[in-house]
Amino acid sequence: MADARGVLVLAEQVDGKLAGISFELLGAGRKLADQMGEPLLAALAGSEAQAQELVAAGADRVYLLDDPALGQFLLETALPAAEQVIRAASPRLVLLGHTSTGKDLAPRLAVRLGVGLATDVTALSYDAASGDVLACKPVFGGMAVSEQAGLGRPQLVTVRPKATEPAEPQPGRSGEVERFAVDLSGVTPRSRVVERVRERAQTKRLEDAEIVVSGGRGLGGPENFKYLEELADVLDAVVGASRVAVDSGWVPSDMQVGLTGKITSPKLYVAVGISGAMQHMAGCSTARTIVAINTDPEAAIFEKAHFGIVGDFKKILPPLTEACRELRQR
Amino acid sequence: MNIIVCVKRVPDPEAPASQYRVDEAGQRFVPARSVPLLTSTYDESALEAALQLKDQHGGTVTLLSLNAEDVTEWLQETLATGADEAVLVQDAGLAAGDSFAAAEVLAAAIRKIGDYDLVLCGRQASDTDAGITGPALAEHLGLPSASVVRKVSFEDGKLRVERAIEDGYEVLEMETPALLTITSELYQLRYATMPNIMAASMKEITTWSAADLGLSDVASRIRQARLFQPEERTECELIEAESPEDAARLLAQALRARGII
Repeated sequence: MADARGVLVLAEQVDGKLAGISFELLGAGRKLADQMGEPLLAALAGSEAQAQELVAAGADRVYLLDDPALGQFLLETALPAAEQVIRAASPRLVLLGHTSTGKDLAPRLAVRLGVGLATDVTALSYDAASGDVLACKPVFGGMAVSEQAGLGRPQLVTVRPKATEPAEPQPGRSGEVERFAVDLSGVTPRSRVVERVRERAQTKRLEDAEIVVSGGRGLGGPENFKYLEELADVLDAVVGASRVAVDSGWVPSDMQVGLTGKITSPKLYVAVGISGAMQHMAGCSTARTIVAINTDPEAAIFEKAHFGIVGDFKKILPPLTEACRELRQR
Repeated sequence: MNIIVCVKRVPDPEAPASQYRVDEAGQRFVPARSVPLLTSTYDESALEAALQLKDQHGGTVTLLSLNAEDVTEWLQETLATGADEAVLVQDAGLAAGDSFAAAEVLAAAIRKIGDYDLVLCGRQASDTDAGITGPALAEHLGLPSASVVRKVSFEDGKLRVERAIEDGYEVLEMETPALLTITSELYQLRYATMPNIMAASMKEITTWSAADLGLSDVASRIRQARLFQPEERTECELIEAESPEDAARLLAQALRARGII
């Protein structure tokens, strides 16, 4: 696109509330916009009040799409709407969340716009020499990092949730809110949302947990998760699992920690019977302290952990739980 | 139902990082020769989903792959799980492109294959972890699509699709033809049976070149500035003691000393 200018954030809202990712995208977007000396824009299918929240969080202009057809996300209507607002705003960079919405929307948007895309990005930087925004993303299950730049304008990026600092709202900050009319007359959807189901095995979210106790293949079976639950209970922690434990049907999929599961960033991550494969570590490597309990002294997890015990979790976890209980009572 | 499953052969994603190195140009992640080449993890799930639909509704499952080399043996092994046919686009130039280039090539191949009700892809390839090819392919073919699908069934002529969303899942009803990218929880690829192995070893793989697809070149849209391994050196303090109970207590004390509990 010619005269591409500004950073545009595609904000998300769910059940009437702006999703946290929207503020993270604005946080990352603000830094880049300032470096480029260009405005920070946002697009939202939502309410005037939510648009004002985006302004408070740093957007210089918000394109508010208030077509009722866009109230709930449906790819077939969201896609032309996003394309239209991007063409109208003509940004040089578009930031989306690497969320279920972003995964559906971004690749198809890139094809429509004739541009590239970097997905699941954990770090962004502006390279003044080339004029490109460089995006770092994990590859090979997290074993390596690829620094990429999408060709063409706008550059498109989906940003990993919780990888960037959210913008702090500044009440009284001024910006424009512009109602944007979307033309969906040419769209005849061939799909529809039948229902959305909230599903969470535990009351607290893994992504928000301060302490996570996680189990993998080494547990041997679903019944042994009780050892982790007892420890988690004492530590007020959330229980997680490796992909193997989930794919073996031991625990529900929303407990999976890893590159294609939940990304956690706790102060303590206890990995029990987990080998330490990179795609799992991608879900916990930012933990401040990692503890590994495994019978295999050669397990890769011991290269990633801060503390480790080589041994049988059945003999280690009960006394660990007891010791933690005693310490917490002091 | 006629289903096309896109499959990619990648270096074993479970191989340890020590078996890989970044090349001198700082561009490619090169596996040691000993690292086996396997079907990308989520492509296996896509194939299992296809086979389950075939079990229920009949029809054919066609594998489609893009590769620089003649990967007949790997495709025959993959066919042996119960798929019917395989198409290989063998072209070094086309295979060297990025996810967007691959999507264009696969779209051309699917148009040439002709008749299909469903295209299934893995949610992301084990090497690129991009998650781009599937949805981009759907865009080229003008198909409705859904990504990170954990369950698919076919009822009353429509697809019923369960897809993972934050904090739960959503159920979509979709018309065919459509494209879905599959995630693994419910779909673990079955083992090949002896009769299928024998049948597959005799199957001919339809092989096409760029010229067969009327393509000379496809554009990549991603420039890689560099590839590197993250530096993650942690000093692991191994707690050793007379008994597991003692070790556990020492650990609890160490965590208390760090102010964590």
